[in-house]
Amino acid sequence: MLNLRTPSIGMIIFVAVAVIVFNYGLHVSSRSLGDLAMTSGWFLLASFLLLGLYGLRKKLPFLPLGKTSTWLMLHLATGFLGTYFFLEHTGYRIPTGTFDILLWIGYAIIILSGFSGWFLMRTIPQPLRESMHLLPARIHGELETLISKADAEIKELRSSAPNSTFESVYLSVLRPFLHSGPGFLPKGSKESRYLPADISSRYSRSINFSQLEPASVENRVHQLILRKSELDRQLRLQRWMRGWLLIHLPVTGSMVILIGLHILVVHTFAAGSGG
Amino acid sequence: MQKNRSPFDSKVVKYLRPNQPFQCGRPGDPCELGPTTSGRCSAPDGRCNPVPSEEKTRQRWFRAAILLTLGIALIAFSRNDFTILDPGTHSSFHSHLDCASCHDQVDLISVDFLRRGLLSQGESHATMKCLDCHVMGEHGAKPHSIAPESLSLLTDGLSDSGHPIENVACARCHEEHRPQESTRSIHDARCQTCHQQQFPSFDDGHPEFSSTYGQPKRAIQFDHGDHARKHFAEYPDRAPESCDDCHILGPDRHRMAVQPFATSCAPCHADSISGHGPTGKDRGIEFLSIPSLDSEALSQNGKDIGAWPTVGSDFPRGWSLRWIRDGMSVDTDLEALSGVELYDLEDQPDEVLAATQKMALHFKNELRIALDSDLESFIRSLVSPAEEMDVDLAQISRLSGKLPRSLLEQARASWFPPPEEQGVITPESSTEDDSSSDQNDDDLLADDDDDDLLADDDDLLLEESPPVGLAVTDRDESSITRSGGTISAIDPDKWANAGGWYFDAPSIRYRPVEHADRFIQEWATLEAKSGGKDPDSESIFQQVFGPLAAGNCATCHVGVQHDEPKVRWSPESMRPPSYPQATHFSHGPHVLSGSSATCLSCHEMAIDPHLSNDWKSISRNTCTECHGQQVQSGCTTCHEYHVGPRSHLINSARIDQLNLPQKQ
Repeated sequence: MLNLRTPSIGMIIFVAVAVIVFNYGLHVSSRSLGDLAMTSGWFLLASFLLLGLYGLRKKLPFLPLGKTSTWLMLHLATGFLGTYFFLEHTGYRIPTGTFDILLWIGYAIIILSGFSGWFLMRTIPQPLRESMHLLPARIHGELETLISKADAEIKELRSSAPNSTFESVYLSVLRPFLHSGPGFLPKGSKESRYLPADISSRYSRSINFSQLEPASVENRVHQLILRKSELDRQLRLQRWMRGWLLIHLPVTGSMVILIGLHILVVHTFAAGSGG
Repeated sequence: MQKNRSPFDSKVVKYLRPNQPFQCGRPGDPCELGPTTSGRCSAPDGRCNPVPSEEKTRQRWFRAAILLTLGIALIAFSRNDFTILDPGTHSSFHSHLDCASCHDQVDLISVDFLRRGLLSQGESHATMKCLDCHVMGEHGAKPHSIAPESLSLLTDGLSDSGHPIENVACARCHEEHRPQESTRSIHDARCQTCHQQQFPSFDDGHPEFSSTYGQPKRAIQFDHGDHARKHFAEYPDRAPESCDDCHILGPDRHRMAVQPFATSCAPCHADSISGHGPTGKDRGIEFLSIPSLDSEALSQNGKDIGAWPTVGSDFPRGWSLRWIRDGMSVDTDLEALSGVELYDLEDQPDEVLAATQKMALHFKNELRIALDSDLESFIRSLVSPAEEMDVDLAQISRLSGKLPRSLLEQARASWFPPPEEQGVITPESSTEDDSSSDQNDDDLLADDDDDDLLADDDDLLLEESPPVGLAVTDRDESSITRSGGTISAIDPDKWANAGGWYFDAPSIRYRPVEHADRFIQEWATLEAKSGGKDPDSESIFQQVFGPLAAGNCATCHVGVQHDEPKVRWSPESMRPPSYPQATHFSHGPHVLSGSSATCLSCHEMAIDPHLSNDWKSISRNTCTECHGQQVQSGCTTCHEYHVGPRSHLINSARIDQLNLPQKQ
C-alpha cells in the first residue's frame, strides 16, 4: 500500500510559483524572439542543481539546514518540476540525434529511477518492519548460521534413519536452495511464507510437509527452509529499496558530465543573434 | 519497538551506522571494535574482512559512472566526429547538407571549443551562412528582409523608438533539426514579438480588413454590374454563362487571371477597336501632317517658302511638332507662332512671318532628311529626346509600325510636287532627285520596249503612285481614268478598313484594327513615361490613346495614364506601387478545393452605385467562416514575413558552372 505524505502548503506554493515563473520566462523569451529551448534548458539545469542539493545536504547532517524530511520533500517537488521542465525542453518528444538521445535516455532514467525509489520508499519499509528487524548486513550471517543448522539436522537424521527420503530431497532440492541467492523478482506468497513455488512443488512431491511432526528433524529443517525464504524476501526488498539508488546516483553522475558537454556544444554551435 | 531492537542495531553498535564506509564482515554477532575507516578489521588478530557499506558502494558506483562517462566522452570527442553531436535529422530541404555547411568546424578537444561554450559565444554569423544559399538581398537578415529605413517608414512605433533595427537570426523562427516540424511553420508568437496588437486568433480579435480589400485598383475598366444588368440582358447570346468564361486561375495558382481579350471581350468589343462597330472610330490617327500656311502672304513679304499645299491641317501638333521642334527656337520662334492662325498671315509682324518661313523650310528639310536616311533614324527623330537613348531597335520597330518609305515619298509628292520644291531647299535635295531619276532610268519597268506589257503608258505601276496596298488619295480628284476603265476615288479611311498606314491628304495616318496593336501600345507606353519631360508628349499620347483616338484604347485601359510612369496594360499588372506585398491570398486552394463555395461565396456584388467598385470589399467574416474553425488561421497563413525585393529569387547557377568542354 502506498504510504503518501500530504505535501506541505509551502511545497505546493513552491511548485506553483516555479511553474508560473517558468512559463512567464518562456513567454518573455518568445516575445523577445529568444530561444525557447535555451530558456527552458536553463530552468532545467537549475532544477537539476536543486535536486543535487539534497545529496549535499545528506553529506552535511551536522549543519542546521532544516530537517532531512523537508529536504526530501523539496527533492521530490523539484523532481516533479524537473520532469515538467524536461518535457518542455525536449518538446514532448524523443530527439533523433545520437548525443541528444543519450541525454534524453539518461534524464529519463534519473526521473524513472527517482520516482521508483520514491514509490519503493513509500511501500517497502512497512512490510520490512512487519516481517523482521534485521540489518541487511547481518542477514548473510544469519543465512550461514541457518545453513549450518540445517546440515547439522540432516547429519542427525542420517544417523537415525540412513538413506531416508527426506535426506535425499534435502540434498537434491533443499540444500541447493539454502545456498542459492535471493534473486530479484518476487517469489512465493505470504501464505507459503515466500517459499519459491518451484521449490515448494519439487519438495511436496516427496514430502508432505503439512503433516510433519512438530518435534521431528524434518519439521525443524522445514522451518529453516521457510526462514531462508523469508530472509530471501527480506534481502530482495532490501535490494529494491536501496538498489534503485545504484541506478539513480551513477546515472546522475554521468548526466553531470553529459549536461556539461551539452551546454558547451549548444553554446558553441547554436545559432546566435543573427550577426 | 525497543524490545525488538536487534543486537546489530546502529543504536547499539555505532559503526554500523549507514554513513560509515565499512562494516564488520564477521558472521554472527558483531565485533565490538568494528572496521577502521580504511576498511581494515580493528581486532588485534584481524579476524574478519570488513565489507563496504551501502554508502561506500554507492560512492564507488557514482565515481565509476563519472569516470566512465568522461572516458567515453573524451574518446568520442577526440575523434572530432561531429555526427555524434548531430542533434537530429535535418528538414527535407537541408537533408543534403553536412555540419560544415552551417556550422564552424571547431576541434572538440580544444581551448576554442571551451571558450566558445563557456563564454556563450555561439555562431553569431550563423544567419549569414543561411544567407549564403538563401538569397535574400542586402537586408536579408533584417526584419522582413527590407531596409531598416523602409521598415521605419512603415512602422510608426519603430521609427519613434530611436532603437537601431538589429538583425534577426533565421533560427529564431526556422528551427532546424526538428524533423517533426517544418522549418517553414512559424508560431504566431514570433510575429507578436514586434506586432504588439495581440489577439487570441484570427477569428477572435484580428483587425478588420481594409475597406478596399478585395477591390484592387484595376488596370482595366470593367463594370460587372453594368454588363450583367444591361449588356448581357440585351445580348444574351454573347453573355458568359459563368465567371470562368472570363476568369481563369493563373499559372501560379494563386491569382485569378482574366481570359485573353479574344476569349473574354472580343465577341462584343472587337468592332469597337477596329472601328467597324457603332462605337468605333473609323478614321486612323494622324501621324504626320503638313500645316496649312498662308504662303502668298509669306511670299509678298519676302519670306518665300516655295511650293506649299493649299490644303493643310491646323497648327502642327504631336509628332509633326516634335519633328520640326529641333530646328526651331522655343523661346523665339514657337513663342512667336503661339496662337497665330498660320493659314492667314496678313498683317502679321515680321517675326511671325520669319518664324513661319523657318518652320516651313525646316519641315521640308526634315522630310528630305527622313527620306535620305533610314527608318530607324526617322523614328528616332520622332521619339522624345528624354527617352531616345533608352529605346532599342525592337522598340523602334514597334514604334515605326513598319511605315513604308513609299508612303513618305507619296506624301512628299503630294505636298511638294516637283519641280516647285527645287530651289527652295538646300542643295542636298538635288542629290535625291538625281538618284531618283537615275533609278527610273535604270528601272526595268521604265523600259521603252513596246512589247512589254508593263511598259504600257497606261500601266498603273508607272504612275506616281504608292505601292500596292497603300491608298491613293487626293480628295480633289473625282476619278482617275485608266486603260481598263474608271476607278472611283474612294474615301481613304474606308479603304484602310483593315488597318495600317495610308495617306489622306494632308496627313499620313495609321489605323489600328486589332486589340493590343503594337504601334499604339508602344507609343502610348513611351509617351506615358515621358509625361512631364517632353512638351509634345501629351499631344502624342492623346493622339494614340486619347478618348478620340482610333482603337478606343482608353475606354478600358485605365491603367495607362499620361502622368503615371508605371504603365499597366494587363488586368493582372495592377499592384500597390512600392509597398511590400506582406499579405497574400491564394485563390487556388479555395476554388480547387472541391468545396461547394463559388466565386459569389466571397465576392458580393455592390448594389450602391456610389461605390467606387462594383464589388463589395472582402470582410474578415468571410474568411472566419472557415479559417479558425476547421481550417488553419496562423499569421503566416495569409502574411508573408520576407517581403524584401529579393526574397523570392532562386539560387541561380552561373553559366560558367556548367563546365562544358570547349568546342573544337
